[in-house]
Amino acid sequence: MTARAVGFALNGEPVAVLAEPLTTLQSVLREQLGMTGTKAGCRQGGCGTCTVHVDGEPTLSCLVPVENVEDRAVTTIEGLGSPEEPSALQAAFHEGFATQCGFCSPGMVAIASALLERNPDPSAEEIGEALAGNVCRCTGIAPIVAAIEDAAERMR
Amino acid sequence: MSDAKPFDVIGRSHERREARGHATGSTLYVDDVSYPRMCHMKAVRSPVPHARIRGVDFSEAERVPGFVTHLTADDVPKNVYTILCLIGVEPDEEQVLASERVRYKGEPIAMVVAETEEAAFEAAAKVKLDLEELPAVFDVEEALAPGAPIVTHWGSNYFVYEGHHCRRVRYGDAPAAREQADRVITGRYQMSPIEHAPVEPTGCIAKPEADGRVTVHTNTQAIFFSLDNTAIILQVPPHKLRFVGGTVGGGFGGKVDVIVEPLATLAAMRTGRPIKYVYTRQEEMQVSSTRSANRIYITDGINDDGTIVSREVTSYEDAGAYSRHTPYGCTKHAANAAGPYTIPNVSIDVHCVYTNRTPSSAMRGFGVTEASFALEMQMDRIARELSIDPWELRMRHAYRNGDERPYRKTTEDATLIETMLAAAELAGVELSADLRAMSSDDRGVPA
Amino acid sequence: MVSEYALAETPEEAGRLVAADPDAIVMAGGTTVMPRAMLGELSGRRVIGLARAGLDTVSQNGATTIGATTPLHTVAGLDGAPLLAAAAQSIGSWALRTTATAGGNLLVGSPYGDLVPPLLALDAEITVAGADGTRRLTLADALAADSLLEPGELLTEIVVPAAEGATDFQRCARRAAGAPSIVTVAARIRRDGEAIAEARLAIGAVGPRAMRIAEAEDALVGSAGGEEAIAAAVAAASSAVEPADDSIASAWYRARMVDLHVRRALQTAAGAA
Repeated sequence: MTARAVGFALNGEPVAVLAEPLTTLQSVLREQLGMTGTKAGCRQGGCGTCTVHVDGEPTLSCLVPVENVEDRAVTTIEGLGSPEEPSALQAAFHEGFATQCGFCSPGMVAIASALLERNPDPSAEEIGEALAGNVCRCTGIAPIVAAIEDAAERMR
Repeated sequence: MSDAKPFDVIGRSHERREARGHATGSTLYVDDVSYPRMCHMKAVRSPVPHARIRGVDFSEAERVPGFVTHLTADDVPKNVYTILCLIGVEPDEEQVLASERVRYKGEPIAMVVAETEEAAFEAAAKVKLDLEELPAVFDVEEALAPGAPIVTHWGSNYFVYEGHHCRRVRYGDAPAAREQADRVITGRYQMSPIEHAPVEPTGCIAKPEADGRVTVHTNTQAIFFSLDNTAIILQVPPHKLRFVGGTVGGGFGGKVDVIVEPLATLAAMRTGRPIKYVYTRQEEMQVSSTRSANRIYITDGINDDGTIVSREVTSYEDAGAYSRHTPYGCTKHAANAAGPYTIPNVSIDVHCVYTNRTPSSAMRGFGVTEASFALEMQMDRIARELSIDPWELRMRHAYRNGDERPYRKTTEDATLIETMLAAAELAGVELSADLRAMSSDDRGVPA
Repeated sequence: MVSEYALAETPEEAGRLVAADPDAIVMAGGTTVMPRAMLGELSGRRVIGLARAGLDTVSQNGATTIGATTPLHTVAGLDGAPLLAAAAQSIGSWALRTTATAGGNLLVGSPYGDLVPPLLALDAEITVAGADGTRRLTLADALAADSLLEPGELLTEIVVPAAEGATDFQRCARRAAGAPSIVTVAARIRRDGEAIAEARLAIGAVGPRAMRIAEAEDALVGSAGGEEAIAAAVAAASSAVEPADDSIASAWYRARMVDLHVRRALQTAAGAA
């Protein structure tokens, strides 16, 4: 049998999966662990919809074999807040109309969350630079930048 | 009126209910849905832009572990995809799966179904196609020249509009007026095809139900449209299908072509298993339809005082290999090709041209946006050459209430002047008193 | 599906695995391998993974030694190598840079590989491990060969000497991020008094390989780096490259962007030197 057991922490809880070699973290999250908040927009690292945190670092889960995250801590959008208890960032997205079709939103929240952890008062330029790998075809990006600035203010 | 209630919706900001799910990743999109025993379907597509199909060999594909079944043209009950057949618009020229000929790179020839997505990719890659490549044409004017490779089955590379080779508008006598004009200004404007590139790829899941119906989760923008077209293609009564949708990860007109549902539903009926058919990013970018590219020639007869006395527009719209929405788009284009301006002599020819490129289809304002692009470049060109303020040129010619459009409808409820004035103010552009005094009810333009 | 994903646990094991199986696919960050695997293109192939091989350390002791699997994100944050950091920061996006590696960038090929022109301008060397031991050679020499690595060889380190002089990195692409380069330029200029004593000009993404433009460098050495010398260098660079038409840019546009970005890079570096 070529499938291997891989154990890691998912949103703070230990999980274990059986995966064939080179199965992506993205596919394991979405298909085995029910974490469909992480999306699959391109599966070649170009759209950012698969962004998660691995040991706190923003990572494109479509490019990472799940074996590579053995014993590490993975945080998905589900670990950043819920509909009942959204994070300040998620609330800002919701109230600021920073989401239209919504498909880019989990990736945007994931990268913005990593940004605000490191830089609690980012300029619009710094926000733009952080979002550079996340494609949005609906909003024209300005409402998203504004929501992140708004969230940063709420969090300070 | 005194006890009329104040508005409690209009004029206020309201929570957008879906946004909570979007921002927390709990909204379900098509690809987030999964069923037990679900299979994956992938397409076998033409690698070349124009070819005769001589054979399709599945023997190696069938040996891939996890292979379940395949579909070809023979399996499709009514193998015709005519997007607007529901409202009687022809022609019937595109197949759901190509049987004898392919006309664009990426045209689907067969489908393979397998237990896993990986097995489906592998099996699709192992299907052997015996194709006889044919000469191809990629340029709209080349496609209309004598001797061009013919794309369509009816022997010409253009759509026939009620017996004519193009959509035509004739108003006044543009050639004669041009001869009398002080000067002639021409322009050639070329667009590229534009890909919608939604962040969510096109896709659906078709799941057979115990009662004989099929549930189809789809990200189509046009759910009733997709259901009815699927029923026609599969030759089943519409009530056998239950389409679930409305959550679309970006469409912009690119998810109104009924492309994935018929074949996924057919495969589900054949195998008795749920079938997921989702485009890869590569398919989404190359195979799915685009906005059509136009080549637009504008010839204007203009007097030295800046009055446009004639406008002739010849436009070639690249439909690609099949019609889809383009013949309709060309009609819209023809109606708008002289612009929102009152010009006494207008002649418009819009050609719906077929080439061996990816079929173009609907995209945000299709037919009209292309016209605007060319027209406004042309207006700026006129303004530059005659040293007229570009605002003045437009406002003088803007249609007013009561003006007759080139297609002979009388303008009503015009707000073009007022909109331009508001835009100028917002943009901080100072307009002369004369311009600021204009309105949609004046007769500022000499006939 | 791939037949095996073998993760090496040490640099030595990585070298042994690669030498023993020259047909295996060697994967560092996986940014090019994983999309191919997803499409089923690597069915039956064996993949050797370097993610745990300990090839991602950076040491600075005069020269900067960068392990081959150092993430681009780390390279972008390096002190003392602004030319390299600027190039690394311009690649992809933040979440991509935490996965993509320096060594992978050297091996991915044009039009990608934006680290190569800066490394050429910095006279970088590479360490390669093979069945017969390790070898060290300049990146320039490695690029002159048919391929950077022979089958069964493993890139383990990039060594960047302490560089003197002022540097500048220029990149032209259709979008500010996440798009393949149309042209990249790396320049380094060191003066001795007023005169330019040393000049490096490297161009990438234009042809099949990134390269230094010796004729442009010669035009600058000995000059004061004024308008005339820069114009001569730009002209030399223009003649040395053969821009092609592709889906990223036309040859016509590329040629103009080479001129513009070489000029900018040289003006900036000469001005700061």
